[in-house]
This record gives sequence, C-alpha cells and structure tokens, in this order.
Amino acid sequence: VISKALPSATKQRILFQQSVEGTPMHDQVIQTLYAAIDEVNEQLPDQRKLKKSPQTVLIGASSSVDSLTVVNLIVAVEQKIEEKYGVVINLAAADGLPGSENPFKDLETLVQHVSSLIGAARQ
Amino acid sequence: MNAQSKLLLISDFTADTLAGYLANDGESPGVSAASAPFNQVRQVLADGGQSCWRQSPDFAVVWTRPEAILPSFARVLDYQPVATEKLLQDVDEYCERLSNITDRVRLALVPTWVTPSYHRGYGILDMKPGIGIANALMKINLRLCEKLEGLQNLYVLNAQKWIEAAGKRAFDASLWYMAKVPFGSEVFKEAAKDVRAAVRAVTGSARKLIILDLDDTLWGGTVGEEGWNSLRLGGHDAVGEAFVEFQAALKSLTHRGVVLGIVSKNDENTALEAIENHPEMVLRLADFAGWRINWADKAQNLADLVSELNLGLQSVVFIDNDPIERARVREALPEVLVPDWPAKQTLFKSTLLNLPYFDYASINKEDRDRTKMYVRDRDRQTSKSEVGSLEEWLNTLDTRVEVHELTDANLPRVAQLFNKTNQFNLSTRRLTDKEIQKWAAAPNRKFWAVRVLDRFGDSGLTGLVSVEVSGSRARIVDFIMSCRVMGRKIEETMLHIAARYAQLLELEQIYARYIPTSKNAPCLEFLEKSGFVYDEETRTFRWDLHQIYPCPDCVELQEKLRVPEIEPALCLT
Repeated sequence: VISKALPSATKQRILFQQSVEGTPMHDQVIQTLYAAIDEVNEQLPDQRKLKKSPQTVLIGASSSVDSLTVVNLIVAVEQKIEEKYGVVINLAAADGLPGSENPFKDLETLVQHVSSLIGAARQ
Repeated sequence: MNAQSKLLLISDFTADTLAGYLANDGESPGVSAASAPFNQVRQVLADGGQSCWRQSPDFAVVWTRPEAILPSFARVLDYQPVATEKLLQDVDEYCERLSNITDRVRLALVPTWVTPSYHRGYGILDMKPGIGIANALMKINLRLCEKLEGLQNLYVLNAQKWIEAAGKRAFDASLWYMAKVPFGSEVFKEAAKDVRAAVRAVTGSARKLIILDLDDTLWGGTVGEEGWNSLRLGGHDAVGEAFVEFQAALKSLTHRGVVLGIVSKNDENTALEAIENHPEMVLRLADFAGWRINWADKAQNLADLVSELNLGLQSVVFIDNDPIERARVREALPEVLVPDWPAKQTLFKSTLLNLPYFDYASINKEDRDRTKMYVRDRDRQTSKSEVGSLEEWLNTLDTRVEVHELTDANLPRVAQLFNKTNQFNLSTRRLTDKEIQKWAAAPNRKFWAVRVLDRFGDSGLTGLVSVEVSGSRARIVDFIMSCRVMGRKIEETMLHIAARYAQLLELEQIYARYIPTSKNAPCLEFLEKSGFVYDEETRTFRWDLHQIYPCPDCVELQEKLRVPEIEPALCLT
C-alpha cells in the first residue's frame, strides 16, 4: 500500500518499481500493447509492421517508425488500457517516467511507463 | 484502372491513416495512395499543375472539415448568426472548385461533412432552421449532393455512416492535438471499405450473384427431415421472424440488380415444394436465377450453376450457415467471395446488408429486371429442350436486334456495360461516361449499342460494338456483350453491323485485336468460330470486306444502318 501522503512522483516511482519484467502486471500490460500493435499494423505495409517484442525501438536515431504510427500506437494503447483496466491514462503528456529515459524509446520503456500510469490512476 | 489503382488524397487534415488501410488491409482491388500537400485543398483543386497530379492518379478522395473549407460554417460553429444563403453560396463556390478535378481523374469521391458527436450545438434549438448547427450541416450536405449531381464521375460518400459505425471511438482528441487527425482509426477503416467498394463499382468488379444454402440459412431447420410445415420461418418466433426478414432483405437486393441462386444439399423436389408452398416464404422460385439442389459437392454445384448463368466465379458471393461448407468453397473456388457468417440467426439480415460488395456506379431498368431476365432465360432453355437442333430453336425465338447510336439517354447503361462486362469483352477498356462520349465523337469512329428482344421478352441493351477507321481498314475496338444473350447469334449480328458499316465506307478490311485478360476467354472462343481469319501472333482476327459478313437468318435487325456521315478525308492514315 502506498501512502496517499507521498508526493505524486514518489508514488509513481514506487509503482514503476513494482512493474518489473516477469511480474503479472508487466505481462498483462505487454499483451495489451501487443493488441494495440495488431491494430496499428493493419495500416502498415509488411516491411514497416511493428514487431511484437520489448526491444522494438519506437523513437530515436535507430527507429524506422514514422511519427504518425507512434501517434496511432499511443492512442490505441490509451484505448486498450481504458477497455481492459477501466482507467484513463494520458500517454500524450509523457512526463511521468522517473529518470531521464524517454518512455517511447522502445516497447519495454513504454510498458513500464504505462504500468506506472495505471498504478497512479488506481490510487 | 489496373489491379493497383492510384489514389490521391486531398484533405485539410492528416488523412494518411485512410491511405494506410487502403494499401495494406489485404482487400481487393489493391490501392496505392498518396497525399496531396497538407491543408492545400483549394490550391490542389484549382491547379492541375501541382506536383501531386503528376503521378496521374486514377481517382481522388477530397475530404474536408466543413469549418475549414466553408468560412460561413466556421461562424455557425462559433454560434454566430449566418444567413442560409451565405452558407449555400460557400458550398457552391467549393463545388465549382471540385468540378475542376473531374477531368484529371477517372473517379472522384467526396465524403459528406460531419461535426464531432461530442458537440451539442444549440441543444433544443439545434435543428431549427437559420440557427441550429445540425440544421446547417444537413443543408450544406444536401447542397453538396445537389450541386455535384451532374458530374458523372464524382460521387458523394456518406461519412456520417462511418462515424456511427466507429461509435465512441469516432473522435479522439489526442489524435487531433498530436497529429491533426480528426477521426479515430475506426472511421478511416470504414471509409476505406466504402472507397474500395466505389473503386470496385467503377472497375466492374462488384459482385452480381448471391448463392444461398437452404437449411438453417434461408429457413430454420432441415426440410428433408422435418417437412416444410415444421420449418422455423415467420410466426410468433424471433428466429422465424429473423429468417423472414433475411429473405426480405435478399429480395430487396434483387431490386437493385443482384441475382439470387441456390446451392443446397437436399432432395430437389422436397426443397422446391417448400419454396413454393410455405406460406411465410418471401422468396419464391421466380426470385432465383437458378439452382443446384442435390447431394453432390457444393463447390462443384456452385461452379456448374455459375457457368449455366454465364457469369464468372468472381461475380459470386456464397452464403452458408455451415462453416465446413464455407471452408470447402473457399478452398475449391478462391474467386468466390465467402463471407464469415454469424451463428446467430438474428444477425443474418444486418450482416447481409452490411456487405460492401454490391455497389454499382449506376442502376437502371436492366439491373432492376435482371432476375426476370434470368427467369426468361430459364424458359428459353426449357423451350430449347423441346425442339430438335440449335438452329431450329433459334428460329423459334423471333429474335430482334435494335441498333442504337450513342445518346445521352443510353449513355449510363453503355458505361455500365463497359465497366461491368468481363467475359465477353474484346479489349476490356474501362471508360467513364465522359470518356466514352469523347472517344465516340471523333469523326473516324462509330459506336453502336444493341438491344435484344425475343418472344420471351426484352433482354435490354446488352451489346456494344465500336469501330475506328484508319486508311482502308476499320478496327473493331470494342466488342462487348452481356453474358445474358450469349449463344443467341447476337455476337454474329454485332460483327455484321460493324462489317456492313465498313463496307459502306468501301474499306478493304475490318479487324479485331483480342486483348486477353484472366476473364475474357469466352470472347476469344467466339471469335475463333466467327469466320474471321485469326493471326495468333498478333492476336488479330481479320475479315476481307470484299465479301459480306452475313447477318444470321434467325435475327431481325430493327434499324437500317444509316449511310455514314464520315468524311473520308478525316480518316486517319
């Protein structure tokens, strides 16, 4: 149980630490992201389809994903999370991840970010 | 248009998601899409020299937001008073710009305007003329439809339907603020279905024939086991009512040119007795072009029936409640479209009416009477079995062929034959109304449409033939005939019409170059037996005009061919 007295950033950090690879939460979130990827891939040619892997790079020098695809993925993930967990998250704000890592760097960072937002929304 | 049509998307928002679905959703025909420069709708419509036109798109989608393209509607949304006349004036001005592109593409599609469903407008006053936003929206959309109605290759698509299908995901603020995409992906997915259906309509690849199973598809229960008295059909029963409404929906499709057939594993007499005698049947035998009811393989039966109806497998949609039979037909006949079918009978009607495979670019009397024509064909075939030889039978038909020139009145049907006929089609040119008129207007060209009648009735305008004169030769450019009249000597009559014309011009030779497609072998088979001399290397059939190409004895030509007005000096050499 996280105390409601703790500052918001601290709560998110704790929730983020709870969402580590291999936990049920992590696995559920990544499956939800994969479902969002399936939706986005319907619009993409085979050579540009997003791979369902935690290592898939979304943003950065080594990424081949265009900006509209990232936006469509963000919205698809927001919708899937609302359907599955009944919480509204705002990935567009993208200011919640502890540390300096970009939450959209790859699918793994996105899973962690989404998990922390779900945790925060449930508090 | 070829297998991969080129689309230009002209929009005042980011519409690339539509391009993505069209190019990658695996549906046929394939479409490659490119976007015009962002938010430059007026410039792109006005200026055909813009770089986006250089790729020569086959068709264009011009999709705008009303508040962006109509300044007066932006004021309506801002709750300012705007005179209706001003709104309509803005629409008219926009339509003027839209009309510029009809010469640049084969097909232009313009979705209707929508406003976000979260916008309450004026609430109680929103439908009030002169005030309400919803009222103004209806007015501008109606004006859009009316002003564009005269443009033959421009169609308005109902975008409100896409919004309703997408439900609460139709609008997403994140998409708008991050990427200037006003709609959710579901809206674009629905739009892609309609755009593709429109492409199918103008390229002649819409489906024409629905082949249906009987037991648990057209009625509830197994007629062979329970007898027709015990079928679930109508009555005070939700499932029975659903079957009746499904049949009524099928019948309604016949009024727009879709033809019905039956392929069922059943005892034929038992099944036909049920169709004719069950008091709640909406569909009777006269509503079906044909049937195959026996215990043989359904795929084989289906192929036989389609062949009997002189249609191609690519015209067919097969509906069966049994997933095993659906899988069998999909595997054996991949050209046949076999939609997934719900197990729940109450969904049959809505599933049928949502199939996007029966959209046609125009609908005329021939379409509406198509089932009757097939029934008359059945009568003809019955009469055929009652007489001895084929020649004898043809002589009993009293066939008359009316020869018509191209007119404004028959142009829509002519364009339809051009764009829907696959099997008996010499060159499979796909031309719009405008392109046909323009082509036929050249002084060295001649174009005829033929109407076929016999003692069983009027088969309608079912044949086209055109020639182009060059020097001492005439080329038959188009030789198109509806499969409905194949094998009744109409083919020979059309060749006679073309050859007779060339003789009147005192030309030496008439020829036809066969351009093969995956579907037009029947045309080749006829030409090989036509008496024209075949040069296989050039796929050309030639007739020496020193001899008459005869009109078949069993056919009466209803119009004398006029002495042509052609000026020999204008003939191309």
